[in-house]
Amino acid sequence: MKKLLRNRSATAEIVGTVLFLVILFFFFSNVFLWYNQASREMNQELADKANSALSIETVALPNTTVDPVSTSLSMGQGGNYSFQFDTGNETLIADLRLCIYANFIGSSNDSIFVQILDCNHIPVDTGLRILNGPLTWSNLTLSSPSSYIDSNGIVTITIVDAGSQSDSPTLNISYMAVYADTLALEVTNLGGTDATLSRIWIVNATQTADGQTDHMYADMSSTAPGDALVVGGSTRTIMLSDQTILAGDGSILVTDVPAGNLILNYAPPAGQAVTFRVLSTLGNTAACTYDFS
Amino acid sequence: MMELVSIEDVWFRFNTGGNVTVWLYNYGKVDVTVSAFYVNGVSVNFNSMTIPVGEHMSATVQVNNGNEWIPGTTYDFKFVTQRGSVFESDYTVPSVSPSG
Repeated sequence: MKKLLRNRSATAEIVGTVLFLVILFFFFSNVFLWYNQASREMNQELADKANSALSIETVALPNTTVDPVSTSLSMGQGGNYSFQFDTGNETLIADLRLCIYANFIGSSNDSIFVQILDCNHIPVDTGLRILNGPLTWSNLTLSSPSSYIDSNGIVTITIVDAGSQSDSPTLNISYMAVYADTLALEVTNLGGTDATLSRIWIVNATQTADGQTDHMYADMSSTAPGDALVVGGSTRTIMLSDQTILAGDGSILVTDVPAGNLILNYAPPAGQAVTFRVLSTLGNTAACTYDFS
Repeated sequence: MMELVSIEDVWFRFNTGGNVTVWLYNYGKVDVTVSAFYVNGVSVNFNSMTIPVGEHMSATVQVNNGNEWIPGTTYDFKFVTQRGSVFESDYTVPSVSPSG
């Protein structure tokens, strides 16, 4: 040992070799650690993506009542009364609901039908009947509202006495209303990991040859922090607007509303099927198509 | 391996001699340089572009040899990055409205 220590060259060689091995170990362990961390981050990213799949669908928000009616009328045989309801905007209505709380007093053989005019002003039997006896509720949902809303946004309900009796029944309408359910988009996070919306693309299903608005998008990153977030397992409602407003970069403006929902300032074109496609910051996409014709 | 790109929108432009606008979104961990674009396996003239992390970028490319798009035809679009990652998907040309 003493002999070895006295040999400076040998000592230096051993120390040098050990240091070299330490440096090699340090280098390769760092490479491995870096690779391991990158793999973990990527695996986490892919796991988050797989665990935050989205779905998007159009829904009817039951929040708009159009001018309820309450009246009492005397109807002659074969008589009819029409009631008009102004829905205001034709393109943003997902469905129409008709609610009637009424009865009539007269011959028990009388029949009073409820009809609705289609957009060509031709009466269509709704299947609802107003009965002789106590007040009763009649409800009906019409899923293709554009068939029953005329060009001015008017829905016309006609009450018709179709009975054969010659008496004049008294019609009592305690409540009659047409509900125009607003069309909205609902984005659902199907997974357990939170998803942040990046963009919503709005694409005309049938493209116009020179249309500059066939492919538009709304940048969700322009919204307030948290508004573009869809918590795992939850749903975010995005309402449409009756006018298209563009942001400075030409994209569709998205505005926040106090309830935490978002308004997509996009007025869909009448007569066109439109595809809404959502993209999350994790690269997940989902799409739905709604026909506004 | 940290490159992740989503082809977020493909817009077949009519009356342009076969132009298509493609939007890409980089949701990976590193900036991505897209260096090549293939349509149905054939390379098309494409200026490479770098997409920073979390950014969207678009490119308009003439694809169809100056021919107009035929509605209903499906094309295979493939993007290749400088690092060799491949992002590929099929897209069908939509129909055109009669008024258009």
